[in-house]
Amino acid sequence: MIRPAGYLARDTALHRLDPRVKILAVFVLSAGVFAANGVDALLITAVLAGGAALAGIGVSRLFAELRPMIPVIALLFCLQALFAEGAPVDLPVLRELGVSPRGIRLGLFVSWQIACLLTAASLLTMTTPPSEIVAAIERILHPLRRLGVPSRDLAMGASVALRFLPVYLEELDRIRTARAARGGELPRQGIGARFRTARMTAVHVLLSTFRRAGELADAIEARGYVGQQATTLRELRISNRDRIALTGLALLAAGLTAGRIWG
Amino acid sequence: MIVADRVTFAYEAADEPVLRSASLTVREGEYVGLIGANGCGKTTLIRQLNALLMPSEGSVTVDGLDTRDRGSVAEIRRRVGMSFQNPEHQIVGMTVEEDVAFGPGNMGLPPQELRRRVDDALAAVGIPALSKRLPHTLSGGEKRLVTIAGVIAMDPRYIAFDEPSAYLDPAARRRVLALIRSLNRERGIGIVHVAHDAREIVHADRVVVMEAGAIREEGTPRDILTRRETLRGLGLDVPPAVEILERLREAGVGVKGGALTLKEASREIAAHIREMQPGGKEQGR
Repeated sequence: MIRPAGYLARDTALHRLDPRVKILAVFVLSAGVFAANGVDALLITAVLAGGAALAGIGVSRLFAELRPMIPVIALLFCLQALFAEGAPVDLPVLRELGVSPRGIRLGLFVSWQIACLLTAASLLTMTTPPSEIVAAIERILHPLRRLGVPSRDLAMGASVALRFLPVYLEELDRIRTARAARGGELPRQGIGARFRTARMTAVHVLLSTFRRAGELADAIEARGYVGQQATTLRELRISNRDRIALTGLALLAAGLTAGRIWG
Repeated sequence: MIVADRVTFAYEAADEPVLRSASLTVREGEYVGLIGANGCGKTTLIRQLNALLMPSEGSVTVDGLDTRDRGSVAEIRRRVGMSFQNPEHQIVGMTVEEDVAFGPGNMGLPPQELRRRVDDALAAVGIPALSKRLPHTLSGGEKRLVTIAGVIAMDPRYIAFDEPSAYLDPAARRRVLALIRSLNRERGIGIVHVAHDAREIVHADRVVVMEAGAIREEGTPRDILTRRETLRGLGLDVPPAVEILERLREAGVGVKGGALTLKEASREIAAHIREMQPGGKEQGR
């Protein structure tokens, strides 16, 4: 299962950065990754490495986040290497397969792109608690409320979803254990039996979700939820550190754009 | 003062009303225990107190504010805090402190004031160390304390507790019950304590007994909870102290009734034994 990298509670420069700045940085870097075609790739890699260094996150930790994606990366690499057009390399097996140096280069490039995107996202989620990411998204969407976007309700929904994710996982585990305890989980089940099991589990989880949703709605209402004008513990404030980071991001974006136009 | 005046209420889909002309008052600073068999309407009644439900007939007012007046609902919910039965389903924050800040945040308090309220509420329930924890990593007792802190942070005048000891182990249960008493005594918060077990409300100022959607009995704990046959007739547990003394009397031992706690009962039994001993009262201290 691919899930966002867990938050690492630390106090580093990257942790202290305003979450909105970090989200913006992920966007700029992602755009850069897609547009990159030469020296700018090195620049983006350097920025990500710098970010990881600032946050005190080592290569092995980042690699652990990449690991579940390795099959995907490998597949894309092979597709590029096999099917990209170009003169084949002059080596025994590879020549017959039609692997070209250009294909390998493209494959490496795609792998690099995915690695960069994942690293950027991981750096965000490792240095920012989920609640701050939600608060930041709310603030980013805030100006859209005039267009009828209920930013606070969306943020509330997102935070409730994050809050109850572990509860669901526990519940699934409980159902599985209960079934196994009654001998329901036999090692060699056919597709049909497995499907029935999955359907039963789904129904169970869905029903308990509705019940829980009702109680949760009451609790939220009882505590005076009114939507937009609420305040939170964490007031997001742009500091000088954020200004420096924003300037850096602007320069990076300008540099990447310039490289794309004139490079 | 909260006044529920002859409240009748039926859920939309049902024909049978859940509440039948039930009246309940809670004065400021008062501790009211509410007991009754399962399905007698206790939960439905307390949900009327902070406008989660509105009476079909009759009225509910909180310090003079009518729950059916839409403009008053926010203020009523600020004044009457609600602690639901299952703590898991009322924690909405991603961390403990964010959850505690949810209620006062909805009141639009500035961040410094929010911080003060959260720290105060967590200290009041004795869990300041848990402030950064994620809800799913807490024990049942800790979750219950978090939900109570979330209510305290709104600085309510009254709190309705719906079976606050449900889902708890004995130690957590004692802690929660002591906390509710201290909220009442030290902060002067009016309490409505819905209980299944009569022992939990022997310290209440007043006990209200419900049956089939109506108020059946009302009086001091000593009036109500020492009446073994009445309690049994309603399908309720009798406090152990009452049970012990009643059985002794049935066995012909001349102890007086009226004790509510085991401490009182043992004192009564000890006094009786001393009287029975040769030399009578002189031997006792």
